[in-house]
Amino acid sequence: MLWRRPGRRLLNNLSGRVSAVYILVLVIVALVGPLVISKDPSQISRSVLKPPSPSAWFGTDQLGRDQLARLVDGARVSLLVGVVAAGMAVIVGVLVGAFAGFFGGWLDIALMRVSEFFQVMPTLIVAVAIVALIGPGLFNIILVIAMLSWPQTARVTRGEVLRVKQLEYIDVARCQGRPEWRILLREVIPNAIPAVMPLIALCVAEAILQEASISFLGLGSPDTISWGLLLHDGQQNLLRAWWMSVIPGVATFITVLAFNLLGDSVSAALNPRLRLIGRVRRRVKI
Amino acid sequence: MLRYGLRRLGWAVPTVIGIVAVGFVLTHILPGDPVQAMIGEFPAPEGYAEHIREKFGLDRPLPVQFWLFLTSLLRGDLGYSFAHNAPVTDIIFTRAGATLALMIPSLVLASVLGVVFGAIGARRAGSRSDVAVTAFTVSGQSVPVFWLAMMLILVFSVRLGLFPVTGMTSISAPESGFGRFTDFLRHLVLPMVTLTLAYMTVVARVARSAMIESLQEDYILTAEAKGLKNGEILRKHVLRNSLPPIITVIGFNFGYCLTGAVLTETVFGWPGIGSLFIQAVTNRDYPVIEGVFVLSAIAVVLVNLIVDLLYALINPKIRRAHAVA
Amino acid sequence: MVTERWIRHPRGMRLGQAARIAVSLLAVAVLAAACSSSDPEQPGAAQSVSPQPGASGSGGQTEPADPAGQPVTGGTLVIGLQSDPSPLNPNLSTNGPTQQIGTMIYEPLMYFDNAAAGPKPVLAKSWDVSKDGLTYTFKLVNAKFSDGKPMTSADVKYTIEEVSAKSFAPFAPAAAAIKSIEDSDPHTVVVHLKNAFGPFLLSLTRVWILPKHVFEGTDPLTNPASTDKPVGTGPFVLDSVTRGDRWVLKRNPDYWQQGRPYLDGIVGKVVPDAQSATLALAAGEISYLSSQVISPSDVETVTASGNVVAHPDSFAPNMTQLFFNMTRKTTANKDVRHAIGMAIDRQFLLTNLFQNGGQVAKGNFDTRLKWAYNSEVDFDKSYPYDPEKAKQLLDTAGFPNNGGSRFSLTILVEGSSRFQPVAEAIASMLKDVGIDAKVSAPEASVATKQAFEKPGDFDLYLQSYTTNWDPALGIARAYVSSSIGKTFGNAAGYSNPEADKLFDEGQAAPTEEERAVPYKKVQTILADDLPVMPLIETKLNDVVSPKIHGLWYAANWGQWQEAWSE
Repeated sequence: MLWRRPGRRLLNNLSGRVSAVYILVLVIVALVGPLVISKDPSQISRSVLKPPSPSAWFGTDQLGRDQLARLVDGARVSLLVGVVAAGMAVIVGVLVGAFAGFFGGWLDIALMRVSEFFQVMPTLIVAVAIVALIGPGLFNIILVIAMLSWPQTARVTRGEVLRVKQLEYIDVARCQGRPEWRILLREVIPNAIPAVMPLIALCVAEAILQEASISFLGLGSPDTISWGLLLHDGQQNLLRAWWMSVIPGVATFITVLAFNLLGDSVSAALNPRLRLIGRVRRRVKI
Repeated sequence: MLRYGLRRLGWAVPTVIGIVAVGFVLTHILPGDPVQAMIGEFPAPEGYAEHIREKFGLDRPLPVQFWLFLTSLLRGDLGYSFAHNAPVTDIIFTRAGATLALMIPSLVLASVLGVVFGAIGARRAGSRSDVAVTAFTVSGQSVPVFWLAMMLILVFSVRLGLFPVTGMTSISAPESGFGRFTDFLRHLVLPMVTLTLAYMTVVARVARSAMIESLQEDYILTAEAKGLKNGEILRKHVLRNSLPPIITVIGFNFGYCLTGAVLTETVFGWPGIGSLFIQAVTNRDYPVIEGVFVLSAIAVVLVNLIVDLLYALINPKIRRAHAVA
Repeated sequence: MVTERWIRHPRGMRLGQAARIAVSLLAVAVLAAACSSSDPEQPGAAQSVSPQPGASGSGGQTEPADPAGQPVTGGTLVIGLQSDPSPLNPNLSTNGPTQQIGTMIYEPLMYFDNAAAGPKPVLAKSWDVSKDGLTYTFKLVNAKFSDGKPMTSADVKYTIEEVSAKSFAPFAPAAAAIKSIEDSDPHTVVVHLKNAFGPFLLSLTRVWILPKHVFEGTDPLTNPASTDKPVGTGPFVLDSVTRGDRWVLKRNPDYWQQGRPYLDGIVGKVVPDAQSATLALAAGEISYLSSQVISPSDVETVTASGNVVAHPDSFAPNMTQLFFNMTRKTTANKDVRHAIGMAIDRQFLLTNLFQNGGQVAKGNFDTRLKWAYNSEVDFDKSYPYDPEKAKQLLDTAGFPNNGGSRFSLTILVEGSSRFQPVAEAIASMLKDVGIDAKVSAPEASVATKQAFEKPGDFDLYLQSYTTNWDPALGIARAYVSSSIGKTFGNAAGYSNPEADKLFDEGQAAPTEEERAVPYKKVQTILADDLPVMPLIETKLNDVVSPKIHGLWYAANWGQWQEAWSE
């Protein structure tokens, strides 16, 4: 092909591999880190606003709390929010999309209208309002993020299901007299899943960014140390303590980047055309 | 064409009512008492709270309140904000002006630069410049925008002292004329750079993918066979054929710009809709929260209208298909 | 019961975070010094206010010796407002802009002078209080409203009875004590009370006299004189208004005080965004900003820049305190409360979170209310920071530390307020003594609801109360059983008949000496019962350009009739 160069594939492979390794390391840090780091992330001390040093690698905040301990603890929360919210969004999205695509008719119209409705709403504004409504708990934030991010998966799944259900072996299954819901669960959904795979990583990336945004606006809970909360504190001390905003910001950036690259690599490997569909409707968190 | 537009607009109506209703319900079941918020932080004199409730119809059933809200909305009346001591319509208009003053230049710049970058990437997929464009766009989508804003402040305002940290105008700026404009521009630069970067990466990514897609079509081979240069092919064939997704993403961006940039405005203290909304949520300023939801609804209509009409303009097939249907 | 509170910045709190950043720009070094000490213009007034005997009722000027020289007439000042002052009538709303601009146009019978901690005559040139504290007689000055009509006792009677009593919450307790008002002599007002009411004069400082002939028969809420066509006796009159932008005041040419005001005019510039306002102040674009807009740490940074000074007398004393929920099993235990009191390192809070603005509280009564404070109560001695002692107390109180924690509790605080880090610090301190403390920080209105709807939905509640310069107006509400369940009242749910009785006596006695007796007694009871742990006597400062002189404070708002600019 005239327009293809091996460099591109290399980039994808390389970046995919690097990001997978990074994510693995991050997960290990999040799981094991708090056991290794002896410092309590919410323990105050008299050495407030100390820049990074051998005794506190990432410095301390306005209450003298160790920023490394907080960052590691935050990794746990941010990953948890990302993975759980994305998981919920993908499950709901796949189910909704599959039902809509498979059964068609009024169900399809209704479900797609609902998903369209969720997609056109300004997400951050709605998220802020809902978090204000149901309170700032960790689970609530996960719920809000999941609630606002399932439609994308639903649309992709629906498209895929529409394609899959035309295939011959579905007709074969029908002829064997197997019930419709069984065909949907056993044949159609499993065959539509590959198309959804890349969306999972992208959803995690989105969810981490969403959580950071919500906590940054001060809507998180002070007991739930997430990177967004660290950035919120960091902004309050931006000039007095650059490390409080630079370090968690870099951590968030690299992590979201890793999930995005992973998603892209998976997407490129599975189906190069799919990315287009997936990407067009993504909106910027501004 | 007109009928097509009307049809799409008709579709938007239930969506709009839906969004307005979501906003209304959310604000009315939010914990916290709007009357207490109006009265202030002391117990009201006897009967005063009831008086206010009655005066603003807050004692009526929720559906009745929603109906009243909708009817006064049709008259262009969004109610009165106690936190701001002004009619909500006035506040929203002022703030929307500030938001647009930031958004329009950012979006125009981002759209142009995004298409240019996308084309650079697509021109030689896999080349070094393409890798750079891809790396740039993925990074742009991964960086928390508010953090980017903070870093820009740290470097350009604090270390280098080039731009003001916050706000849209200085108090001391001249009332009008060139001085006022340059003062505004100085405030505009950093938030505009932030938003331009954020939007540009999205546009560039979509543009690049769409153009690569078009480049794989058969007519490109034909064009190549005719001996056209890459640049010419890009301009004459590729760009035109990859317009729909690009237009979609740009249309989306423009449509949603009405509701402002919550995070960017918050960091830069830009007096737009986004920061207004956050303040309103904090203060339980119900009429303003509802006002912003109304604005979102308008944004949705705009997005759909803009995107659909542009689609139809670019692609006559869609027009005809709908004319027949 | 007046439960109004001044400390929180009602609007734009969250945006204010960035202001801190913004402001620090202008002050590279962060000074640890208290803000007030950087004010060279106000010698002697820098620390806590000292009452000056004889100031009350004598019309004595409390203007300090001014090194900058004689007052200069002329000039226009720009001050920052957080929103439009509407209504303009200060009798209708306690919100900041209304009070700031409205009190330049309307005047009360007397002011409460913060520097002197006592009343200062304005429209009443003198007054007399009967021995039993039931009859107040005021002699009025010859003042004119800006429409040319004279101000008389009928206007005073009308304002008190028809406006203040009905719509101004802080006046409600005083209104309940009034029996009748005589206005037979146009220059004399006689008020008869049903029962003695200690803070009656103080309450009257917040009744701004309205022209009866303009208001009578109308709804004060909608009368143009309440909104944009004010008719007052004050030093300034409203010249023009651009809503959402600026409120221009000019000198009242017929002002009853000869030669006042010095300033030609004042422009109230609406700057809704706290950070822009703070920056504009630091850049000298505006000359004054209320502490309702600017946060203490910003005050610290802007004053460090030298372009601005903090005004020491800005606000009535207020106290940051921790309410114990008396209905919870753990905090209902007195020993637990004492232990928690000793587990909190209040000096740490003062240094790191209050930027040394104020001092560690000595007792449940603010020491700045000198006549009422009982110096035998000293929390530094009774509840010093002593985690070991706290642990012992908890052990003996039946809360041993069995594997991890003794019990868990929740500290309620307004989310994103400047008290949130205070709550986080306290939670960490409590963990040190084995209490598993969590912080709950919902939005302000939610926190308020959870705290004050009885029984409160919290274990510890962190909040700041103003004293309103009087125990009856600002302190009693946190302790008397009649304010349980009231917003900004007795969140602890503390009910002690003896304390109730002593607070009643303190309110009803006519003189400060007589009132001090029950108040001093109640302090020892409160110090032992400890329904509320006082943390910090907070000090809030307005900031003002050093070129401005003669600004003084009546209760919470600056008074500009004596102000002049270099």
